[in-house]
Amino acid sequence: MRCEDTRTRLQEYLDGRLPPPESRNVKAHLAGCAACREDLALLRQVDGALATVPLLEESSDFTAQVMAQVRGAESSAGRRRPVLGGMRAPGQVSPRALPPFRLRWEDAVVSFAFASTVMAILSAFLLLQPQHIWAARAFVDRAWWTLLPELDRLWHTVQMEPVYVVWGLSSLCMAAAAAASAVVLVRQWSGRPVAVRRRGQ
Amino acid sequence: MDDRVLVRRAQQGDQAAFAELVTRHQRYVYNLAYRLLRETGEAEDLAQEAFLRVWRGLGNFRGEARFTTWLYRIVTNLCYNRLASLRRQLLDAGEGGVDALALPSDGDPPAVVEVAERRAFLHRQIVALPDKYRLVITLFYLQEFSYQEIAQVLDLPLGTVKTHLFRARERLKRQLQGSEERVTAGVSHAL
Repeated sequence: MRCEDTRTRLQEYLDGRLPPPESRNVKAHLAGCAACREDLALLRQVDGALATVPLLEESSDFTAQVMAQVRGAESSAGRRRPVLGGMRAPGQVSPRALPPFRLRWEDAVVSFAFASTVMAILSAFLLLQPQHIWAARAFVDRAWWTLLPELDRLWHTVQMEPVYVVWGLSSLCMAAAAAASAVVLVRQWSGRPVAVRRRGQ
Repeated sequence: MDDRVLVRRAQQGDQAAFAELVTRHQRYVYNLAYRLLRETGEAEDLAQEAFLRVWRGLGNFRGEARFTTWLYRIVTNLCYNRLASLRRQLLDAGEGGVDALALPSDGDPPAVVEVAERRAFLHRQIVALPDKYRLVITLFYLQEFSYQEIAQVLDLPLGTVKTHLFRARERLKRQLQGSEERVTAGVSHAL
């Protein structure tokens, strides 16, 4: 093996990444060549220096800062992305972990204020134009007298055939389940319930 | 605990497992960023951003490669964004052999004698290496990646990685050689 060939292989030889036959050839050449041995010695010094470059220390709260960003990203991702089946991104919780629906007093106040406003406007309108009161009353009377015989017939049917009660209750349950599913889906799509703020965050 | 276990837990949303991964790798990631950007604040920002991207991308990590390979790929991609010419430099392996290596033209290297002095001299020369060489040798020595893994991280052909590594060390060797020749010349002159 020539010096030129040896020198191009010295680094891989030093790294222990030469195939065994080539490594043996390099070793044999080095045994008889002082110049290549000197080259290898220099490379060893370079290798030693490269392996001992001092490491800087990152700031002591590095992990805490990263995790704060992770939590921030998680909550914003939760607001943006709904999760409907498939693989969840890290930090997103399963639909089972949806928070229970709660009526908050702020919502109640807003709803009450809205209802009161609508009532006030409607009352003012009817006071200013009382003929509508009579028209409305006539409509209600007509509806009531139309509905009453139907209700009476239904009541007699229920008394005669109790199975209709079971059927009616089942239908109500199914309607309630369908309504609840619709609410959950709408809330999922809006993305609101996906990110649940956990305790201590 | 093995990285793979922590990654699996983190993929299921376990933030404590992810925090453990961050703690385990943050120093190396930060140092790689620092060696390229040479500014502590920027390096820390980049390292934090890298971990955030890792968290966001955990769902797509299938575990075919090592976690560190994937992590450093993210870090180097962020470095490419900061150092516009880095990717181009890396892709340019050049044509010539060892003799084509250009040494920095900042005058003759100082004469160094002691082992510690030589090492300090080499550390200074490492800082002055072109970005592409610093990146490759940092991955090789700091993270102890194989040639193949470096090629995966940097998305480069294996031969290009070997060339960069070879040239970086050859360049440092020549600088060390030059400084030692100056010592020899100084001794002869004194005699």
